[in-house]
Amino acid sequence: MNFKPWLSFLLLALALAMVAEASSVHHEYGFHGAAVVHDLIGDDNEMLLDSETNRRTLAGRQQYISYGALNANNVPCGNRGRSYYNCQQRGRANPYNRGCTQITHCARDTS
Amino acid sequence: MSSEIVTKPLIWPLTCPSLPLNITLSNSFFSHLFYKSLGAFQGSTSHKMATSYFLLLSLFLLSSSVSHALSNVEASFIVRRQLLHLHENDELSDNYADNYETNLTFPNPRLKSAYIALEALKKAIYSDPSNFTANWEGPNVCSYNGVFCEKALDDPKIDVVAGIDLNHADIAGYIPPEIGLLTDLALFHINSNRFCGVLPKSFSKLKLLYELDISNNRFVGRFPEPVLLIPDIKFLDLRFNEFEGELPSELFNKSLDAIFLNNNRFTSTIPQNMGSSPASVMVFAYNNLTGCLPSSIGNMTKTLNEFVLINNNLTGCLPAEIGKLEQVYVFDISQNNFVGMLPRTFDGLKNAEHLSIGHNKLTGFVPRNVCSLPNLVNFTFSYNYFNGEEEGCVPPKKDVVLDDENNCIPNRPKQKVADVCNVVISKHVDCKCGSGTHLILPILQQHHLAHHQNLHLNHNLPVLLKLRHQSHNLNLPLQHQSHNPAQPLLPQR
Repeated sequence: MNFKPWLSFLLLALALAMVAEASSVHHEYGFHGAAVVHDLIGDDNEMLLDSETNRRTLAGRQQYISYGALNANNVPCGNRGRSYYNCQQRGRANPYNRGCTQITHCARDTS
Repeated sequence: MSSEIVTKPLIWPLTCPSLPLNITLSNSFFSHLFYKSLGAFQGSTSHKMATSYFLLLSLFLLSSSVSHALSNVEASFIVRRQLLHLHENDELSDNYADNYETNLTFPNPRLKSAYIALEALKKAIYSDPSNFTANWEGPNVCSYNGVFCEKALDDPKIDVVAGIDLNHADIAGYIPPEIGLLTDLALFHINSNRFCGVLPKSFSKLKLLYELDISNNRFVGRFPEPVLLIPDIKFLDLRFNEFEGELPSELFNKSLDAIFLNNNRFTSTIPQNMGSSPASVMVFAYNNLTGCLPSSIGNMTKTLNEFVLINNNLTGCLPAEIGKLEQVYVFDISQNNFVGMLPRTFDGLKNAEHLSIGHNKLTGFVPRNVCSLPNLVNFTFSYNYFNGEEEGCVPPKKDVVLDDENNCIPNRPKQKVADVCNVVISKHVDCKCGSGTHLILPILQQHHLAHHQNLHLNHNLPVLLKLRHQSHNLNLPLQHQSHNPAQPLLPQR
């Protein structure tokens, strides 16, 4: 009998967490926003690689290139001169180098 | 001299405004003529446009009181400059670079070609507020901002221009035909600029182009078909422009991995061969596409990860083949006019995380199997006419955000009024693709022809039977619903 109030509180907290998570989803999609030109040159940021195992872990915060594309200024990689398929390459940009074959599975610069 | 100058404006590019659109003219008379000129620009009569530009230039030359008017010297310079280069829609001949005269010397012929292309591009620029191309001078093109050289793929001893990346440079201009001289180009990125006009035909000469991102500019016209002639293009981004007209079916026969067409003015049905594409992401949102979603989408079972079709005018029923998309994790067809029931095959979307079918005209029950997909994070089916949801589909639910508002579900809050629901639910479901008779008649005609000529076109019969079968299935449950409107109907298990 003492469990019921506690359980209600837990469910309420859970519901609030889900709402908060849902409302924040649209701010974390995986296209890089516009930035001043200076900051774009030579920028090289680490980020998580997509994989089957960690996608669920990042539930609600997955970087979806499709939803990111609904913002006009967004591009998949803010590092000028790099292939969108090789954003994480270090050193000088080489447009011929591509690190992956499906853009949905490429690491992306989300700084 | 003055009369000589005023006869030259005819050579100005006709598909781009000759002045930045944000310019402010202090004289109201000039403003009136300017916008009238833009009106002519929107029309299809070249002569009318040329005449308007002629008048505009004449008035600029005759009045020295307007702060933005060109002086005689400036106008003369522009005319002479234009004569040295190809105009926007000119053809690029194969030996254009060889015949180009310059005193500069280059390490190899390909860098000379690149210089010609970049020089033409710079001269096609009307506005460069951040001076991004300020250092585009001289023969050392590899030091130009946004130009990236690399050892040639076919000759590791020479440097060539492998990439151009002008993203976010806010440059206004057009793309000149000389761009086709950049034959070693693998990537061309110009997101968030103000380039206008159309892509030149010479784009088809860029045989190594892999990534084309011209998004968030002011391109117009029909789908840029020179792109379809680039052999190995993988990333195509045309979003946030003013492209219009049909999607060519050839687009889906190419080995593209990414197709971004959202926020344009495309108006057509989606080609039936859409499923031939190996793309991992397709975004067609915010256009005016009509007709049905092609059932060939089921052929993309191994490749398609993200599919976004928000805010178009698609109609008809959802193809059962959608359930074959095992690799999809974003599937968003919200804000269309889909009708009928949610296919039970949707439980085949094993990896779906974001599933959005809101703002359509779907009816029937929301199946338990869909709401129980193992990776589901968000399932939005609000703003439809669903009149029931199975166990496990009632929000709130652990780990999944469900949204069932504004439907016809009994005993749920925030639903439609009963009168509104009855109008739709009692109506016969029409799966036709807008031109449904067009879809049916050719098959019937072929069947008749086969029978008449004793030919056996067996491959047509299953299609015909399938269509009849689907129609039969879709009608029966609704009849039950209309018979007992007060009682929710349990779908077949």
